Amino acid sequence: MSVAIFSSKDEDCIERKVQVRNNERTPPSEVDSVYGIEGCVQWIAAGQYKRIALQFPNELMGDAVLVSEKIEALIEGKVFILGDTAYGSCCVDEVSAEHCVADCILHYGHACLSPTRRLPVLYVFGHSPFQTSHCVEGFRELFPNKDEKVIVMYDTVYYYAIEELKQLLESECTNLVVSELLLPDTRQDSSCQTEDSHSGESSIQTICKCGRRLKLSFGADVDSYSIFYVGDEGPTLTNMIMTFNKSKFYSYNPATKTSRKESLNVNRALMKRFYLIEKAKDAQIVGIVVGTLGVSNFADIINQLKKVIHLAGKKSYTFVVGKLNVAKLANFMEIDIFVYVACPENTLLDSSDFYKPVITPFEMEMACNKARTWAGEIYTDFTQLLPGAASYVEMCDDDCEESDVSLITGKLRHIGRASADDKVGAVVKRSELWTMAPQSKSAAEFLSDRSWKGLEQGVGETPVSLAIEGARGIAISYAGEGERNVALKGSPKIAIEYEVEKEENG
Amino acid sequence: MVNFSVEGLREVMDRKNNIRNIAVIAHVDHGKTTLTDSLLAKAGIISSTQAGEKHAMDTREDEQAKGITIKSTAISLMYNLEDWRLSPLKAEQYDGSEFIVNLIDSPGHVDFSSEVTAALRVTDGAMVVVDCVSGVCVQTETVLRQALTERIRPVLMMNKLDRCIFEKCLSAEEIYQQLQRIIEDVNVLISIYSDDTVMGNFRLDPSVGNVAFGSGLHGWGFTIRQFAHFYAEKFKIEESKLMKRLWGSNFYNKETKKWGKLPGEGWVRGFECFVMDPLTKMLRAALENSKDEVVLMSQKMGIQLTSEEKQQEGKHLMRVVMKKWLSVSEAMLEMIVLHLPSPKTAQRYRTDILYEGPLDDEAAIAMRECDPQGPLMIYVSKMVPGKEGGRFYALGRVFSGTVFQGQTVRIMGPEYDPNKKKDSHLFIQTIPKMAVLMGGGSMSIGNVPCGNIVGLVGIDKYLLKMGTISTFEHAHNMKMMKFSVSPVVQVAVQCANPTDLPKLVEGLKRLSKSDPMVQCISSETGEHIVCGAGELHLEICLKDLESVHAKIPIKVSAPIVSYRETVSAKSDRVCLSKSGNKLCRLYATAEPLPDGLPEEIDEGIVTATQDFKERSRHLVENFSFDSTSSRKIWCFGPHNSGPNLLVDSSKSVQNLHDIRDTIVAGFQWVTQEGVLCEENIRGVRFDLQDAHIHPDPSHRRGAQIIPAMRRVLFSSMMTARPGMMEPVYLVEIQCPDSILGGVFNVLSRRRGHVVEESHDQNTPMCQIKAFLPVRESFGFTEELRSQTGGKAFPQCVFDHWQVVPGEALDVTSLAGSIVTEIRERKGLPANLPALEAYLDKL
Repeated sequence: MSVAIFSSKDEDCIERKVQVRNNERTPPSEVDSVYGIEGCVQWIAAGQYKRIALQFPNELMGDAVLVSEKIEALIEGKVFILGDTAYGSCCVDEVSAEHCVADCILHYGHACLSPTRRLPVLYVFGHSPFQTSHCVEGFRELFPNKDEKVIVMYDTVYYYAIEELKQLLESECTNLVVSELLLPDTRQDSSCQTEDSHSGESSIQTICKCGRRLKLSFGADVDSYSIFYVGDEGPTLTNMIMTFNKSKFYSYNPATKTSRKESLNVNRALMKRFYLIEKAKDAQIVGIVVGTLGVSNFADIINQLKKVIHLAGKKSYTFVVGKLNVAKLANFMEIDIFVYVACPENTLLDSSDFYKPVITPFEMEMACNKARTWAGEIYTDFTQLLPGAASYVEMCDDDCEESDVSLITGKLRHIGRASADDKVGAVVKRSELWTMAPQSKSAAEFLSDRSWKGLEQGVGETPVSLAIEGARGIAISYAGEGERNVALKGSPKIAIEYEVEKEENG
Repeated sequence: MVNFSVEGLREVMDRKNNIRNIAVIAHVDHGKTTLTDSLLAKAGIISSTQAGEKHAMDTREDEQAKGITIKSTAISLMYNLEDWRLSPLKAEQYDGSEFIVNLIDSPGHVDFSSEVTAALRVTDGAMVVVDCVSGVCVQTETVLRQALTERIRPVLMMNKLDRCIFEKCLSAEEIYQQLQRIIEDVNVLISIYSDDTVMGNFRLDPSVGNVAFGSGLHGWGFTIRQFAHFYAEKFKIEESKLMKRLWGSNFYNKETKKWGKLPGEGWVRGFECFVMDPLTKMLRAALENSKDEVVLMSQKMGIQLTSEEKQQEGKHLMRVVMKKWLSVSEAMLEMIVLHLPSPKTAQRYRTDILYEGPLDDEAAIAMRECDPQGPLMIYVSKMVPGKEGGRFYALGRVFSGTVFQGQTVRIMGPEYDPNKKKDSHLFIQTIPKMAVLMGGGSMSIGNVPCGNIVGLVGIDKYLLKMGTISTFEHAHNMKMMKFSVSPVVQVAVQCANPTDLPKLVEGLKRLSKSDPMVQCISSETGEHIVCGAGELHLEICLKDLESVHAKIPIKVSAPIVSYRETVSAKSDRVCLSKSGNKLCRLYATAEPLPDGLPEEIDEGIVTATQDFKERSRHLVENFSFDSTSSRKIWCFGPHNSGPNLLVDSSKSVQNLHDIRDTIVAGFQWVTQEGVLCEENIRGVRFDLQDAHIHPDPSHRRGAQIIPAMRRVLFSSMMTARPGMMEPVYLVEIQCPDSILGGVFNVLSRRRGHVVEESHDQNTPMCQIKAFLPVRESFGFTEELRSQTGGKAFPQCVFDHWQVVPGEALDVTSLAGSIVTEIRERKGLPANLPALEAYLDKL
């Protein structure tokens, strides 16, 4: 583990530089086509939306004003620009949109295509430069054999060029499958919900993973296909490699115009993830970190996690910390492991810098749910774990306590909650012989074990005073602030004292 | 046919005086398993014709194939002893002529020493087997020492006497001298390691009957008493008197028929005259096929040969006759029954060293009395894989009470603390089944009273490797076993197919249960590490993992040695690191601990839990600590118990107490993952010299202090001339003098150095003791064999940690290259981070 810097310097906040991939703004003449202004306007008109939120990732923020102006000119309604998303910019930020009471969102740029909860969304992927012919050349180099079974995946930003690419590639390869994006308007397609349902009479099976839909001939095994990915390396590719971890991956990067075989050692990566599952089994106190408020069902998965964690005899606490960083999580020393509930592309986190590891909901399920068996798959999409989804496994609630060996500490550990714990109400004489020694520890117990327990409370020594009303509102300007002494502004603590003073005087 | 039943066995189990729990211990290849065969044959487990060749206690395929024992194997045997054999026992010392011998055959190879330790814990007596030709060897000494520290009484079995007669062609007097010398050697060891005050003063002496001689392979053997018994009738002398004359300096004059104390013309040593002469005559006669002589002599000795037996030729004839005349199993049995203690006797003096709790509580009293009505106390010393895959028998000794099916018991892990209200190391469970272990198999039994060895079924889930089982609510643990070896060689294993990962992990868990020594660890990189005591141990463990526990193909890395990081001087300055928010400052230095202190911490003489005043006094007296700082030791590390200290040398620092937890957390982390290559740290004392801590608690949280503490300790190590430590084996090599040169060559090429060289007076054999770094030991055995034509056999056992020559910061030195090597393996940047990365300026 590298020396983690758990806390960022003060000046970092001010000096922080946002990574922007291409600083250049789109030439105004091209904005119309790149941002599909016409389509946007049509969609807004069709839905008769009045308050429209535009969400841009940081790298496209430069064009935001131009786009919003263009759209506003063409519709009847108000347009808002959402800046600085709380979580990944690939996710639709519904909460920000709700701040301005928007009734629809236009999401620009790269997207993870996670299903949203409340608002209608239009994805506009933009047009990243893409040279089809060069890509075909790269494809030919990687797959000299025409019979090779290949699935073509692509980053959403190249969506516009895919139809053209498909036609070119079909002459190159006979067993070609081009993935389709799972867009909100096509999502209603019932076949997407389950993994292997084959639509009606045709002999085609549809597989929906990673926000993509694959149509394979019935009986074909997705593992036997190689996958050709168009796009640069990043979370999208990693996510796909982990999800389709039995397939060979090849990629073509249109930005650098290079094609290669992906060398990410899946075996090693899986071993690392498996180590984290073991670590999760050891953990007594689990922190559930909310990493998305946009993906639908996020509350369901949190509740399910809480239940599963409880049944495994562990304690859980839920945290909302906005964008995740090392320093934020290091403040909770009592937590043994964190579960990060986020969209599929952000959920796989290399947590080696963190004080305590951060894992995915699937891994937590693996650790707690004895009924779940593992055959090498990784589900980055937590909706797959919910009741009704393809890979939902009922937690066996048999109350039995199990123990096994932890390979991390080399000691025995308990799995499953202590049987006597929940049956407090039953009229049973609790003989010492029959009760188990409960082992679950809570943060309160952790605190009580600490040598320093906080500031001196001095109970009984300080006089008791009645609660009084303090300043109200938000820190930037408290309600009624103008009437007060300017020097006291800003600090609620001082404001309280000020009020005390006032009361004494008055 | 087994000539006893479970019911019969169960009946005798209640007679405390008629039980003997013994382990057979010896150096490798001295013939433990061969001798055990004879005992098994006598109990009817195997046919007597197979005895000596079957190696019935080698129940595993690889044991049979390699011809060495790997696991300790337990078996319960029942015998009916003839009356004359029991005559020396007083009437109250036995109860009927049936005896149970719970026997554990142990491995002799040093890599499996932990198996011997586990075997010894559940027994009261040990039969030490020594090869008459090679005498006392390194492992003889190790196992004997282990036995004596466990307060286990030994008897001696001198094996391979036939080799002295036929192979070496020694004269009777020479044989006597040789035997006498070996017995003396063993007696010296006993007097060094045994605690006279409790076990009583005892010596091994053939004239007492606690030494037997024989040949396990050919199935013959005797004690002096056997001969004395025979001659006693003939000469009408008391048996006990005669026994004294048949050993030692007692000489017989055939002409005058008188006994004397001095050798001289016409005077022959009693042993030679009455023991060796008839023995060699019979052996030679049988071997040379002079049947008449054999028949004549057998008649003299009072043995009847059937006509079928007379038909046999040469070697077979010898075996048949000798077995009938001087059966080795009877000689051993006599020795075991007469000279090894029953549980009733042994538990009286062993309870003190076995029990952690107060010696006057209910459990201790019941154990001392071996009371079947008392609270149940069982010590489980190892897990034995069952026939049907996956489950284990918990092999344990019932020290008090009676264990029965369906009993609800408290299963306490090694770290159980009776003073804690809730303890995760305690399980309360019922015992579904139990069995008497019979080598490879087992026999179900309903209950087992104290004093016996039992295999518990169905509780393997609640125990890792060992533990205590009791019904007494306030029972403390039985003491943990102390192993003489430690796991210093490790390999990383991977499954060939990633989907097999769960199987691999499950297999590793089983492996760590099945072997008392092996350690299986998952590392952060996702690799799975298996640590063993030596190359052979690892080889066996990995084979088990692949074929028995995980049943999947695995990939194994080259062996890796675990290293330790250390420092060799005091930090050249007081180092400073600031917290991330720059509001807290920590100052620290590092220096090496005084010589010998890390070892004392390892051995538990100096511990984190002992009274701080006592510890302080000890440190001041023995390690010249100054008295103030020795009282301000904050903690040990890693794991709160390791050989590194954190000392608070600061003076009147505000709020220091508030951040103590986070400082300690930082220290623990550092001692576990050092600055050089994230190996454990050993033998370093860190002094917290000063600290500047922000008064606002929110500015001195763990997030601020832990990294600052790590950085300040890292920089203090880097300024204190950091170095690496490596584990070192003590190698013992036995070889003929003629090839000494080759041995020295191999040793010096591998950075080994000889510490002791002793020559045998009578034989051209020579014993060498040398230190050899573990790093250089891979392939050592093979190289030595090839260099010396297979005449030198090394035994390697972990001895100590040693500083690797060179500065760790200098990449051209050995220490530096080891650092680079480890960093590469762990995927760290190849170059060490600069000091400036950790050291802050004010």
